[in-house]
Amino acid sequence: MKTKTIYTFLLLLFILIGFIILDMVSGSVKIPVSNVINILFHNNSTEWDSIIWKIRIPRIITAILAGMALSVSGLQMQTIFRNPLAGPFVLGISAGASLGVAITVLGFSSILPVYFFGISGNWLIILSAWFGSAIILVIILIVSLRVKDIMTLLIIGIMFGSATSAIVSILQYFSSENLLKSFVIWTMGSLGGVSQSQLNIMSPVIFIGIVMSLSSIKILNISLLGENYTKSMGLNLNFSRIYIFLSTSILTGTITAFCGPVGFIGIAVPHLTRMLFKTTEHSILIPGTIIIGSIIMLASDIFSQLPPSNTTLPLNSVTAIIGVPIVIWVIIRNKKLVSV
Amino acid sequence: MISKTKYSIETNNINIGYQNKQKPIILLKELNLKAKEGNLIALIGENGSGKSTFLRTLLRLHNSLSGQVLLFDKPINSYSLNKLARLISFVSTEVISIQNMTVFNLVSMGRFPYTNWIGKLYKEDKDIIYESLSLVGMAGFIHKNIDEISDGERQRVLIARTLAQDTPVIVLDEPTSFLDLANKFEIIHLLRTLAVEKNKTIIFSTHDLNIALQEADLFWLIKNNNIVEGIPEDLILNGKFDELFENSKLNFNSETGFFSINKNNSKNLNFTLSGTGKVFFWTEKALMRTGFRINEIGNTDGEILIENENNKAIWIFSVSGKSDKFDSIEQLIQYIKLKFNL
Repeated sequence: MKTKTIYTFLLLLFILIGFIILDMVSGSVKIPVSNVINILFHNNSTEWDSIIWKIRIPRIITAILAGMALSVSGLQMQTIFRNPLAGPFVLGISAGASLGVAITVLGFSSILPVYFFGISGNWLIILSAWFGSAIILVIILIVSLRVKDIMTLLIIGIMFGSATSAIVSILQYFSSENLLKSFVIWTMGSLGGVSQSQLNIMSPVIFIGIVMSLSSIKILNISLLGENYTKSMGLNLNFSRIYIFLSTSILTGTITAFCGPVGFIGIAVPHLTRMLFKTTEHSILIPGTIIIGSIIMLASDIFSQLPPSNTTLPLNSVTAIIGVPIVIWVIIRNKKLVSV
Repeated sequence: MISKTKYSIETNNINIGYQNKQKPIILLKELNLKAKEGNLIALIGENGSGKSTFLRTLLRLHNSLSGQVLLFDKPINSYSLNKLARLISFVSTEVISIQNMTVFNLVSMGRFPYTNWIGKLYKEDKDIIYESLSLVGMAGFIHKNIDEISDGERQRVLIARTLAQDTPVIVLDEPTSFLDLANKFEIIHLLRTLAVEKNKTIIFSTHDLNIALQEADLFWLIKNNNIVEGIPEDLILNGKFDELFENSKLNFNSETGFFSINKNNSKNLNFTLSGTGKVFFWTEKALMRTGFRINEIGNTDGEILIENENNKAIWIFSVSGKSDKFDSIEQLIQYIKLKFNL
């Protein structure tokens, strides 16, 4: 690795630590940095103590996991579809998750009380989102084994997305105001809703997804040349597609289940990473997107907590406000849209 | 026939085309072709005649409708993907344009069939990459981005990638299609050098007949859903080459090896031209390009004489006892056109 690359990584790690600390002191209750450090290393069991350990740290871990998962998914999709506007949602995974949640929140819960299922409402939403994205994943995998051309697959993914949104709209149209509001809030995305016990499930799953994408570095590298070349170099296209779609779905589906459909990070961060490292080598790009994705998500979290008093801005609005200028900048700078 | 060289690729009665719902569309029928090691083979055919599909079939990127492709005496389908990638490599017609990708990145991809799961390049891999780049004359470009180099240079880099893949057979789909004339010559010549020096079988499709005629060992000529095999000179002498252009306006002159477009607006005029050297050669070429016949047996419609006056060439055109002098070929042709109402 070039020394410049190593320095860039060190700088990014430094920024990441800075943002973690910054996120720890931001929130409705003001806790000074010196106290935060004190709380981290001593057990005082004060009120501040539980704010840091029970609210802020789970939130920071969620932000980091969501940032890295969505960014790595986006990078994989941009590479395998060779399309700069691809993102973690092109396969329709999050649309499937939305449908699952919509059916549960808007459909069933109007007939049955939430506790009928024997699990708390929060878990119910997570499970329905997971289930929804898993169904879309299975459909995508079946289609990908039958369809040869990857661009067809991209279009089918987008069509799935549109179809599921249409069904979600119908469900919304017929549901009551209260249920509608709780669904809309879910679609706005949130990092704060993940409890410690949920993190115990979410972290290992994201870890598996990240390990899978790290092990597909070699596949991703040659995928940039397109399928004629990848086949002639001996890559099993079916296997590699399934493997990469699977890891993308695990990452995106899980984050969508726990945090809602968080937009723009997955498209913008891979571009930022490429611009910073100026390489197409995925052994650099994947770790790069992991760190930059975490930083951007932490920044979004800090930004969303800027308004005074107890209110926070919806996460999706913040990521869009941060992400849109990046995407526009990329388009203007690169002019060519055909190449990644 | 005695032949000691072994065949790297053979096709056994293969039909090539597309499987349609009702009936298959056959582009090329019952092909029986053989390619030797160390040979540079040019695949020639019109647009849409099935050149690319045929090449893709050799690479197993496309399945033949029937028959078998043999690669080193074994059916191509019997190889594992990885083994196949160590025997045959490919340069496609697509223009590769990827931001931030360096020449080294691109060529190193050729090592894909040989590296471990994470794609680690060991010293031997790197040595092969450097060697491949210097073979195509691109060693100095190793850290350049592929977006910053010219089309000709990028084509060399893509060829270097196949060399890094280290396969005895290389297939290239129209490697010269978007290059300027000098680069077309250089790329085909490079392929010839690689075929001879590295004993590789190199098969390429092209529309640049003049260049292919000078460099290729063997021609595969697509005509009427079939491929005619032969060395270029044989194909010229037995008239197969002329057949290729029967239906088009293009005319192949089997005496000069040049192509010309048939022109119907020259009234079939025949002139006698006398002179020597360079001036004669280019005068003849210009007159033929205009559509006149030169020094052919039969009636003559006029005489053109090239003379030297004060170290400058002048052209004298005489018909029915009347002569005119011209300072340039352009003036001469203009005059003839006026004279014969063309």
